[in-house]
Amino acid sequence: MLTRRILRVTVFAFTIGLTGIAAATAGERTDFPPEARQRYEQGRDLQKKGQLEEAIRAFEEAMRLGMTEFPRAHLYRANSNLDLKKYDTAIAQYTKFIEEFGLEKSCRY
Amino acid sequence: MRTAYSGRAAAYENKGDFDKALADHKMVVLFCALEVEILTSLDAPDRGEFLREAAQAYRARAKCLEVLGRRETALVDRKRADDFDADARKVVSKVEKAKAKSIQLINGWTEPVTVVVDGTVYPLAVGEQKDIPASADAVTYELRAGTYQATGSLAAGKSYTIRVTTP
Repeated sequence: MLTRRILRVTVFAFTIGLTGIAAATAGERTDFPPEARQRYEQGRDLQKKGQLEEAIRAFEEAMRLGMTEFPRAHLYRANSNLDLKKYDTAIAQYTKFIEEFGLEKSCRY
Repeated sequence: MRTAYSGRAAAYENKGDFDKALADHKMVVLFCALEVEILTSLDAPDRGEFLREAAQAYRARAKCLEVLGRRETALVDRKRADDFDADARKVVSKVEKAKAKSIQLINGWTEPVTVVVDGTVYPLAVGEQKDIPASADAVTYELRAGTYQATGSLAAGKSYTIRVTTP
């Protein structure tokens, strides 16, 4: 019995999604230890949920685990302190960020 | 978006130190203005977001200047912020119009294909992605994949991946 196999040519449509939102900016280091990255991501989630004290602890742990050179961990920790109205701590952390990471990162991140 | 300088400016403002806050706002404004100037000179199509950020930076500085009693300078900043917002709207609208008038095709099959739209033939290599112009909201196409053909219509502003399946 002759069997015919028919190839169907189909076109599937999907709308264009946003693709420009990258987790890292060009030139930003990304090769951090997985456990540090995981703790940092937890910090971001906690920060978004408004659990700022916990978020700060997560960012600090991420730094201890190898993300000290990751600007965003420092910035988000300072932001959390600002939102907690700990202004002096926030100022000290922003100042450290500016000194360590320079003008461009201090204006861009 | 809160940056190190804008965050520190906010912290200084909350402590009532508006002179230090102003110094930080100036850094943010300077950087934003430079960035916008470069992107505008390059006619970068995605500069809308940067223009909005620049507008925010100017507004934040204006607010600080007002507290310091420098109302005229603050007004100049507010006017500049409005101009940036207006530019951002124009840029975004231009990009959206351009997107709406094109169709994105991606060859997701394992062989090269040809798509004919409005009488124009578009060959697509394996994995190739191509933006093609659309003369109307919906255009008819003819797809040639090997010995097989298919026809149908494509909507402007959408992205299509071409796949071939065996039932």
